Amino acid sequence: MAGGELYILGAGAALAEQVLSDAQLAELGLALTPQEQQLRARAGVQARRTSLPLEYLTGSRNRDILEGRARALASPTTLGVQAAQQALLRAGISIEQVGLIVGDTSTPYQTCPAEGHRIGGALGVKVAAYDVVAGPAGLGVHLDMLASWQPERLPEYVLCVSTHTPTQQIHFDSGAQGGSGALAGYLLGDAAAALVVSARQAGPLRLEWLRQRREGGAARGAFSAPRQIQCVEEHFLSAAGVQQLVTAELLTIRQGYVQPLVDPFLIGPQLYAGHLRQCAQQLGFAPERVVVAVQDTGYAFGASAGCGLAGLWDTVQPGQSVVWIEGGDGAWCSGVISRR
Amino acid sequence: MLHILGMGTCHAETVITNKFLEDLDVGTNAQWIEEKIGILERVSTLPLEYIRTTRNGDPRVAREIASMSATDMGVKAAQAALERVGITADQVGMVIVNSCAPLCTVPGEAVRIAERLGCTAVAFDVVTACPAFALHIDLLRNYRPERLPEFVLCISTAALTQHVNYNDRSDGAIWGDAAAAWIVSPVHRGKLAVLDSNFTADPTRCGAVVVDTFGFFKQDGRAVRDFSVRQTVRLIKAFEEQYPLDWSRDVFIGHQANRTMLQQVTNNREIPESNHWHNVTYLGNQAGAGSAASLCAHWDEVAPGQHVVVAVVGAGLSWGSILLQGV
Repeated sequence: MAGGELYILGAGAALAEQVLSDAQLAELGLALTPQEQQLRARAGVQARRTSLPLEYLTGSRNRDILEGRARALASPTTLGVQAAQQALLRAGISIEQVGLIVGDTSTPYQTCPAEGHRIGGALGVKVAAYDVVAGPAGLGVHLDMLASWQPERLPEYVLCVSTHTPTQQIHFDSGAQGGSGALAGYLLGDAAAALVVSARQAGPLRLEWLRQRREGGAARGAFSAPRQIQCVEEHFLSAAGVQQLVTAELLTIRQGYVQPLVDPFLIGPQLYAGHLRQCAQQLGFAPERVVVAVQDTGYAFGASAGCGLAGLWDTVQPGQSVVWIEGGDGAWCSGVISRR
Repeated sequence: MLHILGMGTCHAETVITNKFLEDLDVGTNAQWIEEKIGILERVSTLPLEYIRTTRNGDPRVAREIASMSATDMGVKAAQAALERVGITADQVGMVIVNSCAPLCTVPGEAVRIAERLGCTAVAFDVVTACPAFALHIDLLRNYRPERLPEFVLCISTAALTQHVNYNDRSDGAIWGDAAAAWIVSPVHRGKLAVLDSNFTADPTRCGAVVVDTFGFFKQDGRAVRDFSVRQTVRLIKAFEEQYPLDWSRDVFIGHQANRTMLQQVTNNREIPESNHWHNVTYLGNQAGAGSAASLCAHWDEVAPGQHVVVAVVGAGLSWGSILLQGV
C-alpha cells in the first residue's frame, strides 16, 4: 500500500443469539474424528452462535435449508444491519452521512440484488451500494480497495459490512446420512462485522499498510457451498502450514511496513486462531495479544476477523499496533492498523 | 486514462422461441411477448425438453442438467477476450467478476474463474447485477493508476434461465444466459478510451428485482419498467449536457432487458436505430453481460472519435453509465 490514508472510524460486530454447545451437537450424534478434533482445536472454536432456533435445529437437523431460512431468527441482512449500527455509533455518524456501502456475504438469501443493497435498504438510505466478495479475506479486500482509490473519488464515509449465516446452510448430520458432516457443525457460526472508514476524516484507527495477494494453483477453499455447506478437509492448513503462512505474511509486512510494531495484537486467520495463540511467542506475539474471535462464536468466514477488530475497539491503546492477516479461498490480505 | 483493449462473450446455445413459450400454455403468446418486451428469442443453458416437462419447478435440478454453468460461460468469455487482446491469463493482474446467479457462493466466481484460466492474480467478485459493466469501469476509475495492474479482466456472467419459473407467463420470456468479458488497462491504449463513468443505487427499492439463491427470479415488472426507462434517459441526458454527443455519429447501448423499453429511450433521445446497438431481441436479457455483449458484437465498427454511451440499470436498484470514445 503506497500512500493513501485510510482511517477506521468505527467497527461493529453482531452475533447470532443462540449458543450451540458441544453437548447439543453431541446429542445429535455428531462426533468428530481425531483428525477433525485437531482441525477444531486449530481453529479454537469452543462454542458457536446460530441464528437457527435451537429446538428447530435439534429436531430437524436443518435437513431442509430453505425451511431453516424461513425459521431463522436472523438473516445475513439483519446481522449486517446490527453490526453496521454499532460501527456507525462508534464512528459518531448517521447512516445518511455514508456515501457508499460495500457488502460481503457468502450466504446470501438472494444472489440478486447484492447484500450491500439489502443492508442499505434495511437502513433506509439511497446511496451507492454493491458487494465486493473475496471469501475470508473479505473486509481486508474492502480496505485494500478503498486505500487504493484516489482520495477525491472516495465518499467522506464508507460503510463496509461482512455478514454470514453459515449454520443456516448446514445439515446437521453425518456425511453418511447426507449431512454436512460433524466438522461443519462444530466450526461454523453466524456473525457480521462492519467498519466505517474514511480517507478524509481521521479516526481512532489508521490503516498503516495492507497488501492483498492470491495464491497460485488451485483455489484452496476450506469450505464449499453450492448449497449445503461442506468442509473440504484436504484444504485445511496443517499446523506447520499455518505457521509457515503466517510467518511468511509477517515477513512481508515487515518488509513493507518498517515502523516498529508497538505491543501488537494479532488478528490472524481466524480458521486457525486457536493454533496461532498456541504458537504466539514463536510468531513474536504475547499469547494474550492473539485474537481468537471464533472461540465462542464459531467461524463466520469474512466476518470473523472484523468481529475480532470490533472486540478490540475499547482495548487497543494509542500507539498500539494491530497486525491483520486473513484469507482463504486463495486470497490473503495482510497489514497493520494502528491506534492513533 | 483507462482503455478497454478487447472483449469476449459466451452465449448459451439452446434457443427458446416465443412459439415454444406459447406452447407451454401458461397464458402467454408470441404476439404479447413481442409487443410487450420485444424479444423474439432467448438463449438458455437448459434443454428444451427439460423446460417443457418440468417447467424448471426445482432450480436445483436445473444446475445439474444445464449445459453450462455461470463459471463455464465466464471462462469462455474471458478466453475470447484474452485472445482478442493477444495476452495470456498469467499477464492479468486482477480479475473482478459480477454474477447475480453464481454457481456457488463459496468459493466465489472470480476465484473459480481465475483458477480455471490459470490466472494467479488477485480475484474478487464485484456484484451489482445488471449494471455491472458500468460499476466495474467506474470502480476501476476510482483507483490510483499506479495501484492498478497492467491488465484487469472484468467478467459478468449469469445463467438466469436456471432461476426462471416457466409456469410464469412473463418471466420465461425475459432471460437469456450469457457471459461477457472485457479487458481494461491503465497503461496500454486500446480501441476504446474511458472518458467518464458513474454508478449509484437506491437500496430502498432493493426488493423490486430479486433472484432467490436457491429459487426463482421475481420482480415488480411495472415499477422496474418505469424506473428503467426514466433512469436510462436521465443517464443519457447527463452525458449529453456535458459532452458534445452527436447521435448521427455516436452510439447508445442500454441494458438489454426489453427491446420495447429501449425503443422508448431512443425515441426520447432521438437516437436513430442505426446508432443503437442492442442484442436483446434474439438473446434475451443477459443480465450484466447484455450491454457489454452488445458492444463486443460491434467492436470492429467502433470508429476513431466516435462516442459510445453505455447506460445501464438494474437490480438494487442500481444504475450507471460509461462514456467511451473510439481511439
